Amino acid sequence: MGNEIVMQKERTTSKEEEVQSGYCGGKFLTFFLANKEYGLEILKVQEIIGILEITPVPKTPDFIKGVINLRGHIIPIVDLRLKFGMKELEYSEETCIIVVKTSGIIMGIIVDRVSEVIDIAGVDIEKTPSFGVNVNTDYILGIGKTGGKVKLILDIDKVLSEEEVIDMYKMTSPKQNGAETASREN
Amino acid sequence: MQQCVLSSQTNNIFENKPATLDGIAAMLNGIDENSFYAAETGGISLLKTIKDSLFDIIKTSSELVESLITDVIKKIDDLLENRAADPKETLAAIGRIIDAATTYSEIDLMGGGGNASENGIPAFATETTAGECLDEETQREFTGECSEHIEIAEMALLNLESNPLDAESINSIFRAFHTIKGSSAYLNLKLISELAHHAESMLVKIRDGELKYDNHCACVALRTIDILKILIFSSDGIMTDKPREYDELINDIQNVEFFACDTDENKKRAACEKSASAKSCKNITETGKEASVRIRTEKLDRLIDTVGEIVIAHSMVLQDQIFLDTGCNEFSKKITQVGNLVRELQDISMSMRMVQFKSSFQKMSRLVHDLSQKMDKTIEFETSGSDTEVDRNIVDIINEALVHMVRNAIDHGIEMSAEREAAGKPPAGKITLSAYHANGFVVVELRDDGRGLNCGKILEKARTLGIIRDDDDLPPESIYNLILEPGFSTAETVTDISGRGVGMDVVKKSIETLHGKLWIESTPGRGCRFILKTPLTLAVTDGMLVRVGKQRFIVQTNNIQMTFRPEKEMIFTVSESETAVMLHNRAIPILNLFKKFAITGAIEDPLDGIIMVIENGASKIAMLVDEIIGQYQFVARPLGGILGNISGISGGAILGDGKVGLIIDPLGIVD
Repeated sequence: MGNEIVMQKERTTSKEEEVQSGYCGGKFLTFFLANKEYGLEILKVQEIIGILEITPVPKTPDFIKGVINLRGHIIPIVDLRLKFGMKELEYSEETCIIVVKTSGIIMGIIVDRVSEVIDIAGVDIEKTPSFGVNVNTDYILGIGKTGGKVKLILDIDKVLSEEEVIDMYKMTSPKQNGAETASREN
Repeated sequence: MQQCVLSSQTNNIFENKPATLDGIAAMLNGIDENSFYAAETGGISLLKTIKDSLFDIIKTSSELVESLITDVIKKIDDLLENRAADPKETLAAIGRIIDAATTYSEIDLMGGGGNASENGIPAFATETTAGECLDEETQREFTGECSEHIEIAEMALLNLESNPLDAESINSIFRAFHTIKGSSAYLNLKLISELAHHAESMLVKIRDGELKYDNHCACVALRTIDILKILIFSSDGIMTDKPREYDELINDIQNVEFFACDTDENKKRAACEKSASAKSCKNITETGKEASVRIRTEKLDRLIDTVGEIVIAHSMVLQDQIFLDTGCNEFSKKITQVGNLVRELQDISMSMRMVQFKSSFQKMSRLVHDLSQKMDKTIEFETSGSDTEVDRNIVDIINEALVHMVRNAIDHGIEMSAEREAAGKPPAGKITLSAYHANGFVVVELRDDGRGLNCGKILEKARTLGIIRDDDDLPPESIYNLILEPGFSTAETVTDISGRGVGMDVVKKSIETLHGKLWIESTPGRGCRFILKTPLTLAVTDGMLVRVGKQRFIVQTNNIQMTFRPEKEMIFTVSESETAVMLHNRAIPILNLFKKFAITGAIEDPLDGIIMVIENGASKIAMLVDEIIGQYQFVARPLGGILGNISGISGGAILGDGKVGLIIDPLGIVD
């Protein structure tokens, strides 16, 4: 009973902070993707595992690498490089799968390298500036500044939201169909 | 004789002061209410003992029980000091309160881990509004308990319909309402307890013969059950706002009572019997507790999943290269022994999830009752094999299908009495629902003796809807299957019972999820028969592991009709990209998995690969695979979140080497 009250208090204060700065601070897991550092709310991270063999799933967009067996659970794996339209990189010893839990769904995301866990206060998070038409900033919650460095804070729920994936599937499926007809012609 | 027994009991009790409320209740029963003040019965001294032990019990009770006990002590004092106006009634009242206190303290024990006063539900410590302050566990326990009682009450009510004088049925309904009332009052759920209370009062009158159980009563009672269901099982926890028809219903219940004579004499009699029946109710719950434990299905599912994983882990050990290389005899013996145990464990855990069709059938009987009244048709409903066991998840899905099948049978199948009589049939229609096991499958059969399916009408409708072409010539079975098409209905008007053509589509979907089959048989003018066949469980399935290129897939064994290596003369080209295989003079189109799934490095010439004939509803398709790796038992799992809806893939399973294999969905693979 008492605990709950304390927790509620904490929640309200963090909300106040949020109102003040526009963003909610806290602990973030940072990782690298094409030499850029990204942050991910630590509360959404379930665990970090090394790269392992992934079973490809047909008829899915190419950023979905497939599924793995995580101690008896089948979870989908998304390659964040492909998802963000970057070039695919061969997996190495440093490549990691970050297992995240977003709105009840467990998924893995492949990143180049996991860096560290840092504290970023709400006031140190800035609104995402507009990069122009070519850059999609929908997935970026804000820009965190710590120790003179800048980290892009991801809105992982948006990155992995179901509608998003289905939309992407619709976008990519004509391409796939094209590939299919091509193989048929061969 | 009786007195003799009593006095010996009295002596006994003087030595052992009862330590529980149960003991006190037993002791109270021993008091002869007629000669209470006569010295030789020892009534007074018994009461003193009871009072003493109540003071002991009060120390360890929750607040609610405490307040009840204080009340009892006050009443005992009245009796001891000769202040009670009617000692008999006061004694009866004490009995009732003790009973209530017993029920509540039992709930305390369940909810508060034995130390109710400290860990019990805080709802009582502070006066708060009901519902929201209930912790999840208590709420779940309450809804679980209520659903059982509601089910019992509903079954008994329907039973009363055919047999209005059945005292046992009335008693069981009464007990159900009484228990619901007790636990909801304890949890401070006023709406529920009030409703249950009114229903209970009505039932007392029925039981005592003051009120005749008629259709009106039945309707009111069934409506009460409906409202209780709404209150208890609403989606966001237990409801604390009055549902729409609540007040109207309470009013109706009271009006039912209004017709009965309501003398003091009767009231008292009812009160006495109430306490008596409350006692018997308690006994029933107690024996029930010994025989079974209520487990959340979520926990059970987890157990079954884990056991499934153990089976897989075991087969991983069996396939391990080190083990295969050494071939040590002693070691392999041990592994085999573990395997046997694992299989046994699997059987046990599976059987734990098996449930009977009873409650499902009961729901149908309620549905028949409601619909037949609504449509003004007389229908006899018969069930058999309601004790047939099947996996819990399957029952839920079958239930959904049955609802639509029953609706259809009543609306379209059974004719009005006049029409039936004109056709030389008994005026009352008959619907039979039966379930049984056959060859490792569960069969559910729904039969009605109505007008049967009208082939001509179905064909006509199918042609207007464009489902079939005008010149298609179909055998009767295929015609019947047309009614399963979405949007198909031959009803001239859309009613709230059927006619939209959604129902049978739901049936079809349910059967697809179950990997089951449905046969429809019909004799015009004589009725029709729906036969539904599904596997016993969905948890572990038999499948074939096949390889296409470097990828492995699982195909469920019951979908596979046959596999063979094709001869050159069997294969022929249909068009540029389509080939087919001739089998028993029937051309079956070949589905190239490598093409469908864009897999590279797979066998592309059917002559080099293996053809697997898959049944896809009525049609067949020949799937080309590179190799059949072997037979395999697997636990089907969803692919999770965003990968739920891939056509052709119904899920995944963890293979012997710990990697994931995808399960091919034979229905979805052709689109």
